[in-house]
Amino acid sequence: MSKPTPLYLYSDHQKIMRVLLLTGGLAYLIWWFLVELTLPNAFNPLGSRLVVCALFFSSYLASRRFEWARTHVAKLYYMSGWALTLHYFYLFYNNPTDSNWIVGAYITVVALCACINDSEMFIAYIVYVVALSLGICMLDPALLKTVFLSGMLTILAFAYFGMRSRVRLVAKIIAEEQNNEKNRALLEVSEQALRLRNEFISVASHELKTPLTTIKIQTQMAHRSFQKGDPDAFSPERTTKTIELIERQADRLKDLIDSMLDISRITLGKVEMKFIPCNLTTLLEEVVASLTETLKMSGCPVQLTVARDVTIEGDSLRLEQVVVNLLTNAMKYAEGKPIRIILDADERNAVLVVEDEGMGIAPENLERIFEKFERVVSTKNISGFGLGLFVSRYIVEAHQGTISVESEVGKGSRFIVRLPKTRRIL
Amino acid sequence: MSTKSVMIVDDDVDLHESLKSFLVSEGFDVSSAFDGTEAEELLATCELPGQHLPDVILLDLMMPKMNGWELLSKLKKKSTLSKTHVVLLSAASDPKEIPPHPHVKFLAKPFDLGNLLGAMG
Repeated sequence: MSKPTPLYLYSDHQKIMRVLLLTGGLAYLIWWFLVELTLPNAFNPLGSRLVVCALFFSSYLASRRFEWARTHVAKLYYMSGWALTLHYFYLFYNNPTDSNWIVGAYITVVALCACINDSEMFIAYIVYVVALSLGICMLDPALLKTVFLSGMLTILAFAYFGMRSRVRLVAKIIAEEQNNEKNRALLEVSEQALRLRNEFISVASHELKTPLTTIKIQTQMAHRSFQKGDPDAFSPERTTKTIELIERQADRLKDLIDSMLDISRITLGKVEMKFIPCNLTTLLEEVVASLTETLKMSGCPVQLTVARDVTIEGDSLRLEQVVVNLLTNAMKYAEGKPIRIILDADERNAVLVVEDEGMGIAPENLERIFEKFERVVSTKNISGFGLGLFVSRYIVEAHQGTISVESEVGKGSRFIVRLPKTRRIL
Repeated sequence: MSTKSVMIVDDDVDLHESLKSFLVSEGFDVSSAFDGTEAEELLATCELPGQHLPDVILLDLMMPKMNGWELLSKLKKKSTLSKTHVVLLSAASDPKEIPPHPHVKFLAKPFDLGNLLGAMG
């Protein structure tokens, strides 16, 4: 979502206007209060003007400081303003040529302006002041200078207070929107985390129940054969096959639980690694050899190209886990197409590449596949916890290395792991 | 009495083999597919003259290439379901998600073999 732009909040032009208006308005107010106070024909000058000035400043302060004052006290000021206007109208009725009521009226209006934030009311005040000024001029042209000055200052004051009011309103709206946006972003993150967690629970239960189902079928079959008294059921061949099958399921369950524990350890920052010289060439050859059966079952031909004796400072068990994760992923997504494993090294780094010609990864998913519980395709299609790449990235980064992916949809993926031969002491 | 034919559609090799060995021991004629696409191809050959569709399909829901849901909706469209029964096998899905159909049953993994035979009718 795009952020609203505070167009006129902090522009230099607005700042200059504000300073000019405030200085001019205050100077005029002081001049009026001090000089015209001494006029002999003023109607109750001191009391009336004190009320007006107090009204002006208190309304200004109230409107500036308190939200409650803006909504409640402002209404009171608004009503007092009209009472004062009637009072000045009475002055005008007694003596139209007395400038006291003109200045008083416009000060009242200025005071009221501090409270308003409604554009229609703002326009109504301007019309009121203009009409007032014109009326006075018609009565006595000698008052033109005073009225013009008063009217102009009033309008400028209106402009200032109206603007200030608008600006604060806009600032408030922007702050609210930014706050809402922050809340929305937080909500989205929480919802995403919740969705991933639920998906993980669903996938985890599937992954754990599948080997359990095989174990259960085998034990029930044995039980049924025993009940039937089937003589072939417990022949050495069948028994060996059954035991091997059950053992394999137990290993699968152990691996699944281990990867869940890995996540827990990573999250708690409790993964311990031993950095000792580790021959990556041997490690890679051993992992591929141990996965021969699985690779054969996946139908993916494997091409292994390794440089001789690539040795780095690392934790061989954890690095083996990275290789297994990358190969398992390649098998899952290669759809029976070839997998290439390349190990090379330069002076500083060892580079391991695992590439396949499978379904590939869409550009928008390239970043997120290294996150927890993420997977390239729907959970309905591919088994696994979606933790392999997350754990791999963690291990590689703990070795001060990097893991990255290049991929094209329909053409395959290429995972590149760079590991420094020697770790820097941080 | 003719032998009942069953098609197992599941990508998990060990589970697949276990089921197959059990069903063969129970006297079923078993055919196998490891994903939805393979099952669809196999079913297409079953519809050729002289061939017959399996009486029951044991269909796993979570599979690569084409999952169980997709295959099930294809079977519904092709009216294969009027001739054959489907037992959906799942470890994670909620049976409430499955649209009711007289020839479609659901069995949660891990299941009892007695229940499996019951669901297969």
